[in-house]
Amino acid sequence: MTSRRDFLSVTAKLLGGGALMAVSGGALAACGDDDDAKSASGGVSPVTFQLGWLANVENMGIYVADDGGYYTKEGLKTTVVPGGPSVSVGPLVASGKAFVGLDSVDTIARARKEGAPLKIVGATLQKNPSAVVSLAKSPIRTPQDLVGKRLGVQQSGTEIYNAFFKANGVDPKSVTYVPVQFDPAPLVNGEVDAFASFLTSQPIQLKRQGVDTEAFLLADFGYGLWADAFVVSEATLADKEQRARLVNLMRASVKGWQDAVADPAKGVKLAVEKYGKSLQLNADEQLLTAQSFVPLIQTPETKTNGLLTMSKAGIDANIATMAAVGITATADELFDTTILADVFAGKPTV
Amino acid sequence: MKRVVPAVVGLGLVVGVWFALAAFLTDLRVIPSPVDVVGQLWDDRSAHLSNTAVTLREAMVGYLWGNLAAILLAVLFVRVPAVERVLLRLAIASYCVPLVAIAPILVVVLPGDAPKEALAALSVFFTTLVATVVGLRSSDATAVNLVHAYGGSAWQTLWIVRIRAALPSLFAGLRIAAPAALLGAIIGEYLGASRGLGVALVQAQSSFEVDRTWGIALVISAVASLLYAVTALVARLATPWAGRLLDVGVGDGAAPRSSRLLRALETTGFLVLTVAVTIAGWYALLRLFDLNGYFAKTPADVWAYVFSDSEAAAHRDELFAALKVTMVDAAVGYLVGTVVAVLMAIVVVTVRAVEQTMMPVAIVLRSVPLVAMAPLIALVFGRGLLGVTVIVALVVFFPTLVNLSVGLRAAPAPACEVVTSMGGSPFHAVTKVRIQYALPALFASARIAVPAAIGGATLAEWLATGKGLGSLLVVAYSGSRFGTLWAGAVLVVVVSVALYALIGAVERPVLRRYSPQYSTR
Repeated sequence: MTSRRDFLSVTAKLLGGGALMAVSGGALAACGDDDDAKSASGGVSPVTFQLGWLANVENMGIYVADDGGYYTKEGLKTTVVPGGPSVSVGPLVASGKAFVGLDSVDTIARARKEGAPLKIVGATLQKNPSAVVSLAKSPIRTPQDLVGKRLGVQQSGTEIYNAFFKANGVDPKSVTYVPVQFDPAPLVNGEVDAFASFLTSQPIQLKRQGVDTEAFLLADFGYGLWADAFVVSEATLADKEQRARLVNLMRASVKGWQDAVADPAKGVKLAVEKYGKSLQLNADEQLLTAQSFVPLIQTPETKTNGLLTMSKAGIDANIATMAAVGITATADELFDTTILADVFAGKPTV
Repeated sequence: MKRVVPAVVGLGLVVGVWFALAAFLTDLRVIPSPVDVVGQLWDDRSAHLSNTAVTLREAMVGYLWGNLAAILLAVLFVRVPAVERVLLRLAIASYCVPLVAIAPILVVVLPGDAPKEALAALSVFFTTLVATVVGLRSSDATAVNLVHAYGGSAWQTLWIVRIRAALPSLFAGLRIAAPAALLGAIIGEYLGASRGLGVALVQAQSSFEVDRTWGIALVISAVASLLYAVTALVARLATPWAGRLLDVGVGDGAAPRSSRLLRALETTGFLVLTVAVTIAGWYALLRLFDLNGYFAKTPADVWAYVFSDSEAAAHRDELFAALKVTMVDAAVGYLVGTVVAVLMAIVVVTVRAVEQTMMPVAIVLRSVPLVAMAPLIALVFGRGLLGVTVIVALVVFFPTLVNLSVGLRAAPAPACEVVTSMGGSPFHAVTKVRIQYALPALFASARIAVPAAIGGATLAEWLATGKGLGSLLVVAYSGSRFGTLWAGAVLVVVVSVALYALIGAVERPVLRRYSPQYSTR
């Protein structure tokens, strides 16, 4: 028996940690509840930061904080893990495998309804980047323009769009939904008249590929959800040491975002050359994207409250928007504003 | 040289069609010109190289562990049939369980790159298991009896007769597994990764970099084809006897037959045992990893969702309505894919040059990531039943073609020569002799292709139609509706396992009638 196990572990080492080793390693990781932050006594605590999408410029503030050593200065050894189309941020955070994650407000609210012990402690995008993109030669500028048209929308987004149309006095049945993914080809090849996307991505990328587009933000028609919200587990908030660690992480993140908003070129460089290196990002396009993110991150409200803020008015708008889709949530159970209060201590910057 | 020319002709044909379509459909911007794609490929070469290294490593680790586990389990199955009757259904579950249901668990339970390796391993495990079991069982009953008669033990039978007979089938399985492992690793990268071909593909697609998307798809195809070719080469070197032996058996007429009632009782007993093992294992896993109940549902949760909670009736209606759509999608695609594969296999075995021309094309088709081609397929074939059928048929076609052409070849050369020497054409050799030998392979293909068709249908529903279980599960996943997700996943598994059992029930009498030389147990 021993010899066989030796053989397996040698084989696994040769392979650089194969499935068998991985399973035992996973068991250990999952059994220690909060091993992410366990080795805290003394030096640096390792924490995992789970992004919601690929490592592009959307997360530049985090790169600036990480690369600039802001997390290290706060006593944190942060590992930034990119997401992807099938990422599951909620389960990773709820299980303690990630200390903090980025996800959308409505996803977290739904997860809470299923019993997920998750809370939102900050909001990167104060204005939701969701937009309806159309070709410039046949522009669609308002929800009303979509009547009788074909809208390419990810299947996960249909409920949101139903509510959005109702709120704007448009019968959802008057719009034909076509299921699409993240590839805007159906818009370009004319299979759909409009494409549900982000103002910060497809319009810019399509322009670079020689396709002129028109777009309107859902946020400009009453859609009040924040995006790229910071999600943590309730256990983190309940534990004194972990909570302190979270305050430190949020302070460093705010600082990173302050720098990135002031100088997007710095964040672009990090995204293109370091964090998203294997994505072959185009620096010019990423700079345009970064610049289009700035007004969504920095608003009149963040000028007085600080970046990532969760104001009373903002929380109410989020809850009202979700109520229209049938997601009931209360401010107290979904959001925790005390972390940011500790980070800023009354000032608008850190 | 003789083999290279037809392959070049086949691939040249593909490139020709590509050029024509690109020129014809320029305005739609879905098919880039091959020249642009190659130019982009060259510009991106260093990134492709490092991304390929990452993904290939994940795929190979999964390939190794998945196949190793499958082969060991197959040997155990053949030695101790009772184990098979309990565990086989679980093995099917590993193959057809929808990815979105297990993804959150994999990423929470496994560290680092292991979730991607695990998905690669899951993509190969079941196909290799079936191929190995079929191979081990396909040994000639006479030969097995001969070893027994000379006093050989069961283990000696295994070594002397069964493994020798099993190798061609095993290698057929390993060939199918090679591209599958690569695609599994790529899907794994969708769960979140910083490097790899899957990551590059998503980025290129979402930025509408069509040339680059196609370049990456080409790299994936090339690597998958290479893996396939290497396995095929190893197979040729390791099993030179495949299809060259005179081992026509006289049938296993003396197989003990128990009464119908007894068999029914036995089957029920094993079914109950399987369900018990599954439920116990399910609870044990949740307990062992202490998974949060919001995304890791227990059997009791699923039961409550479907049968006993206050909205159970509505849940059932939603699930069954979606299931009906998926069943139609899967059935039509399966039929089309199988018919095309059978015809193709017959042509391939009859006319050698066709095989060398068409096999590379088939491999390329199999290894193109469907996610990358979905917008194209939807545009050309629409988002109705036709589009779905194309996607499902593509999924079904390849394993069926590979298994069948190996099966058709497994007919002993002398038997075929009897037909041809009597003036029969190679085509007659196929219809008179080879078909008999291919029947077990056809059933083996069905066992893989039927669950694959259901998987393909859910994929198509997600990518193209927005209806059926595939769509329901993805919507549930993104909305954190894990109750729906788990109930849907269990439904897919139960239906797949039931269909698998149905294939077995059809297989036994058919083989007894038409291919009696194969010992079935």
